[in-house]
Amino acid sequence: MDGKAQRFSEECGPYAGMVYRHCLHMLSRPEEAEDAAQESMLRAFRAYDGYRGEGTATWLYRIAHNTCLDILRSARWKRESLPYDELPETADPSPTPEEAYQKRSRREQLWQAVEQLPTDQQVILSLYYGENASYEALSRLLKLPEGTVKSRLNRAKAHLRQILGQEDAAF
Amino acid sequence: MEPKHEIPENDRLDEELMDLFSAPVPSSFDEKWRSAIEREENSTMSQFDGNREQKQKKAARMGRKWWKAAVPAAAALVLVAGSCWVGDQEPDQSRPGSRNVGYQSSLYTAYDDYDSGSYPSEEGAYDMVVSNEENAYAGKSVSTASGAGSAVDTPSPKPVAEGRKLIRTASLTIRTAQYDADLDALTQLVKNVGGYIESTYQSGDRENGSTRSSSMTLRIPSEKLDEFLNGLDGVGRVVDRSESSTDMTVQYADNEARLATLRAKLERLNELLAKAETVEELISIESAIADTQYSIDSYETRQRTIDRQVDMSEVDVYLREDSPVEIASEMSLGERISRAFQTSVEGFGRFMRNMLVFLVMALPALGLIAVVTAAVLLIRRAKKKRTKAKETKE
Repeated sequence: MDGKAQRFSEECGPYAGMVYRHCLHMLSRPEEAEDAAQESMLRAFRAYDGYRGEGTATWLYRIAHNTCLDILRSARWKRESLPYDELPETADPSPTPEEAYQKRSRREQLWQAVEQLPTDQQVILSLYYGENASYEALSRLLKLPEGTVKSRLNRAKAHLRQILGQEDAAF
Repeated sequence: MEPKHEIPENDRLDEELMDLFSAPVPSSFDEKWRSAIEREENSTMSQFDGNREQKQKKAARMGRKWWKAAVPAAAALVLVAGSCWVGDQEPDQSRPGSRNVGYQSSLYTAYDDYDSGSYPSEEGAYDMVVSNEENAYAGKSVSTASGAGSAVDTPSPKPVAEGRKLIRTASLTIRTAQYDADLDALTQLVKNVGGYIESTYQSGDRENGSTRSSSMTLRIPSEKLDEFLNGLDGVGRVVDRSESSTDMTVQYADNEARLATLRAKLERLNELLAKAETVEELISIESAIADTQYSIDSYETRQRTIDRQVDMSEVDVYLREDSPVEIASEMSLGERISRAFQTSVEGFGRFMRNMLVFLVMALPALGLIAVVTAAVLLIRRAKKKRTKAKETKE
């Protein structure tokens, strides 16, 4: 790899999984999500010369989000979105169909609540839970002090709880 | 009815979030996006190289185009400069109508030589040979003084002429739009009053655009001087005029007195010569006679000069032709346009003639350049053909 590609890979490579997962959540199709994630990384690479290094994760997250929006808005996109019950899931230990249904409903609700969070909170949740990164790793990735990482994470969860609590109250 | 969701506890929320964000990333994804980026970079580099190559080609074309434009421009510049240089090199005599030659009056006399400073000293000036004109004055103021002397015939000093001995001079600058006509008129006026042109110097060449002028020294009879000066009203425009008078009466009288003394002395010496008894006395007296005669001649010459200057006033006239701008200011618009066009046509004609001369002059050099250029072009063409043939073979 040449200079620019090398630098991009080193800086943005750790967030590729986050990008994919976000595309998956927006598009709901693994193949489309993979293409969208690849496209997001390409767009990021093309815009890399103008990137000022002020928050790589958030920057990539926004690019991925906008890429998915473009795909969703495109005329060729047929919204034959798979219902959540067809999304690839981790191994589901639920023994009964009812439990499985409940679990899928909960996931949908949770995801919708996550989408209501600000981008930086979505990013930190995705990195913390999706990459299973420690505070120290997040601190290095996000170039923030560990204390700041912890407080942002707690704030994100509190916000999420608030949203979920309002929804529950709405019911 | 949907089951009511309880507000999850922290641990539960953590588990749910972990479950939510833990969708597996396809194993091929990492390699796919890295390969895509690498392809992107390679295509950008080749595009950049292509652009750079295009730019280089364009620059080369521009360079050639610049070269193609520069050579004709340089050739034109050389042609124009050469033509102008040829025009500057033309000698004055070769130009028709040039009157840049000094003109000498037929009455240019020995005294004029003195006046123009041809003699090294004033003393020497009085030793000139007397011309025909001077003979006329000699009759007025010079009495015969060579060897005839006797007491009875002692010449008496010439009485001072009635009136004063005033030498009048004048100087004028005249501007004219009709140079030839006014020059003729001036010459005629001089003749009419009985004067003559002592000297004249003319310069300028209308054909080359330089104004003509004439510097003249005139001799006008003193009694007709005022008539002459007034007659100049009809000749051009007098832009500068000055007159002066020098009273030579006292000096003239002094000279006359000295002459009388010298003549008396000469007469006495001649008497002594007749009575000389020894050779030594003879030689001495003859030497004194020679010196005295020399002094008499000098003073007589001075008197003649004064008389001449008193009788014929010197008038310096500078006649200058108006420049085209000055003439234009007095002309109507139509006349100015016509004159300007005429001048332009004349100037263009002169330039074309000069260019032709320059081209002929430069023929040898041009021939050599043409031969060298043809040789270079032929060699380059041959090289190109060989290169193409090689590429075709390969």
